[in-house]
Amino acid sequence: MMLNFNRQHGNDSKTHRQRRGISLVEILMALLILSIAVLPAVGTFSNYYGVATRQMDQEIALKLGESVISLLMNTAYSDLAQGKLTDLPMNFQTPSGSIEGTLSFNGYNATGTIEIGRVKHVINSSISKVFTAQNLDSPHKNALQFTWQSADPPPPMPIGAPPPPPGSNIASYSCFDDLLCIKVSVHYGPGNPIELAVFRADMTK
Amino acid sequence: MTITGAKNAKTKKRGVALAMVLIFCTAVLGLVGVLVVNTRSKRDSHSVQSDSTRALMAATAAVQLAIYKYRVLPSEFYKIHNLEADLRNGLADVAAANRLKELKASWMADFQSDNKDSPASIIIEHLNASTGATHSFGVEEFTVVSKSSSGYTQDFLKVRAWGKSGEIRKVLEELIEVKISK
Repeated sequence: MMLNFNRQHGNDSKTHRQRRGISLVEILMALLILSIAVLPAVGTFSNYYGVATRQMDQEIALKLGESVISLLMNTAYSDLAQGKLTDLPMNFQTPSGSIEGTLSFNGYNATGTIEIGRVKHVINSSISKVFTAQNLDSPHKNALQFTWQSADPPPPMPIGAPPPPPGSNIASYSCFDDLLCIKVSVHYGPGNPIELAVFRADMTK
Repeated sequence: MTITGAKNAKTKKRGVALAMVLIFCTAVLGLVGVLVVNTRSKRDSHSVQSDSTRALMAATAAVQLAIYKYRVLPSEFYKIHNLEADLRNGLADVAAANRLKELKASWMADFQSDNKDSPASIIIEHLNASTGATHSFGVEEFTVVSKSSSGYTQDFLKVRAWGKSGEIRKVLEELIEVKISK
């Protein structure tokens, strides 16, 4: 009985040794599987961080573009139309404080640089005429032309005359002001620049 | 018997670490999946934001065009407004109502970018070329909200315009005070 017990004890200790060995293999396998699972996760985290950072830069660039458009929409129309602007101060309010810069004009084109955090935003703006003011001395076809249907009753037609063709009571008016296109692009790094455009008519007169 | 039972218990414990790691890996993979989906949606949200801004700017262009037309052709605008007022007060017949519909459609045609050769369609070509995106805009409503009884001295105009960039459509409503100087 004693011998058997000892033998059993011996077997048990052998099994215990074997189990310890298997545990090591298990740990190694576990580490292998874990590393296989975690490595792509680390890559994804890194990718996510990159996307989040890029998105933040894009959002800031978009807001900058909107602010510059707003600034140019509130500038004197005549200065914009005649390319008389020189320097326009820019002031952007951010959660960390106000950031100032200057939009320097050279005729109808302007550039400015704003640094927010580590990102340098280069703002380019250009003013162009979509429609040119009509000139009575030298009429041209590039003027903004509005059409409307006359509300007045048509003149009486002579008896037996054919009916007027459809659309014959459509009148048109050629405008004597330019219609401006304000284009703003914001370059903020390796991504595509933010491109915005809006139109401005002369409402001052 | 006891030793065999203990052995069975130990045998049962084998592979627990592996099972736990597999569960952990599944959890990590689940997290990665959520991150991937989230990253994709974030990536899309930027283009939505850009399109929203561009759509609003297209709507702003429509408002500018509408107000400018009012500025250069106020009499024609007020003729339509007076006809509308007559219709509201029951002073116009069915023929006048049809005529008003035609006049309004003709007045608003310049602001719809879908109308070929309209000023709006020319503007939209510039807009598309400037930004590289596809736009469209139009004016839904252009009315006088209140009108002073003492002649054309002060009015409030309501312009409701829409702009579209990509798949995003935005509506802009502006109330404009018009004072006519003597």
